[in-house]
Amino acid sequence: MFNKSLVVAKTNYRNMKLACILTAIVLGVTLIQDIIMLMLGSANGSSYRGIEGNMNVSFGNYFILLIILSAAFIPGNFRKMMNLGGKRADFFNGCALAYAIMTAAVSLVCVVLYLTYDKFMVSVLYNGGTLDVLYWFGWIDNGAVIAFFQMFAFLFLFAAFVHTLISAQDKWYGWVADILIIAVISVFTPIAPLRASLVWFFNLIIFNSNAFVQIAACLILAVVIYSLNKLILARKAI
Amino acid sequence: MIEFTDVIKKYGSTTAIDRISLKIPEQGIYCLLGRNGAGKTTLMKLIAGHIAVTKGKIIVDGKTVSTSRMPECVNFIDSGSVQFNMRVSDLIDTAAALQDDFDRDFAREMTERFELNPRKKFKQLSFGMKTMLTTIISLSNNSKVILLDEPTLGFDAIMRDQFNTLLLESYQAHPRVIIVSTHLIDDIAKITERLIIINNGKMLIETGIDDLDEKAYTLSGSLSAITPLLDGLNCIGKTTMGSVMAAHIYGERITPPDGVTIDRMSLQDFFINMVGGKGNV
Repeated sequence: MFNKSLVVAKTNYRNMKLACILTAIVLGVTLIQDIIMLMLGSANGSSYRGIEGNMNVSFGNYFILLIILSAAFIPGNFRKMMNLGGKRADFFNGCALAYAIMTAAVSLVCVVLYLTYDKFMVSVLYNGGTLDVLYWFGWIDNGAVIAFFQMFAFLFLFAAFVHTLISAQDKWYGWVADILIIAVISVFTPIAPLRASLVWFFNLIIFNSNAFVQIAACLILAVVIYSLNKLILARKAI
Repeated sequence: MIEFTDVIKKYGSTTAIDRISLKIPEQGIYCLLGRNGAGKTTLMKLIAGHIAVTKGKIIVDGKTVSTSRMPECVNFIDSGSVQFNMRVSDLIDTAAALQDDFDRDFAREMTERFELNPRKKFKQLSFGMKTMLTTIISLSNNSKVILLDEPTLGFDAIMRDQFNTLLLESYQAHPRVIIVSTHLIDDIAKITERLIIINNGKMLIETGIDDLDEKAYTLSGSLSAITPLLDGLNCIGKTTMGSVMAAHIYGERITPPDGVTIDRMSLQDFFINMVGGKGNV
């Protein structure tokens, strides 16, 4: 069972070229921009006065794009996987494994880059700091290891959510889910009591002061949401 | 092994399968015939649990089939199906890793015989080669039931002949239920043991090829000699040219009177007459 899940995960990775290319383009452009900024700063010897207060999105955070794109593309592999003789259960488990590995890798990269590349860039260029989810969501305050798990749990929930939503798009309940999500955001936001429940929800999965509650909430929610795929896959025609 | 009980499959208001009851009790190579849109692919998808029945029940290997309970012992891959744009060798390796009873040696042998370049990517293959690859992946599986939907689509005559040989070799090595749907009727007639014909989603006939050889025949002669013979015979089609008539019969053989010849009916003629050719009555 695990071997087949691993095969599904590997096959998904091998067929993520578009997601990888798009992410690589964004990363490449960001890197080139950083290098040019560094060269300009060094060349004029202005001690970066011209770019005082400058901020940029953390380099590592661009890797999150890979998660978003993968979760959008991987559901489309279902039929091809079945055409190779795969089973629905293998696809279900294999995709979960693919997201688990990918989100863990991206979280690790984000934490490492935050502590190395971003620190360096802040010291020499972005003296206004970097826009980093680890910082802005307060995860890094709990230390690098806990922050890694917090980010992993959140990204896994995010991947599970996008994957499930995309998987359901060819059925009526997918469209109902889209409408519900839009309705909840647009109706709950302007009405104060309802807004409070939205705030409570986001506090639970993102801004929770207790890292363990946040990690547990994200993982439980991810499992619940991803489990819906069992029902979706069971009804999916090949 | 496979049992259909009053199975109906509807796509919206269109009935693709209409109250089919069918039993495939034993191993063999079965040929599934039908015109375009007759319901052949739907029938196969139902057996494999790729789509759900609207009504009725399908039992495969003692278990009821549904989309949530795809039978493990059935292997069905649509010949025209899209594959990952990976190398031929990688696709075969992936299929081998995903399937429990995959015969890697057989897949390799077939790849060599059909001169499929293992380094070529799927999108670089010709239409016929794409079909061949999918057919190889299907046939290399040693499941109890193999469903091949138009496995020779886009093949030239030599490839079709080689395919038939390999299908027989595969069956002899691993006897099982192999159901082949095709339009190339006379090709498959050389290797198939039983025949299933469906038309407009309805079952027309399920019979053995030997039985067909015996019961399907053509009476030729003058109109005046043939016409009186048709009373009491199951005439499935007839062609008249002037005063000469050819009548296609499916039933017990008769001893023809003088002036009337009796010939074996080809499977293609039998099929055309059964599903409604120009000369059909």
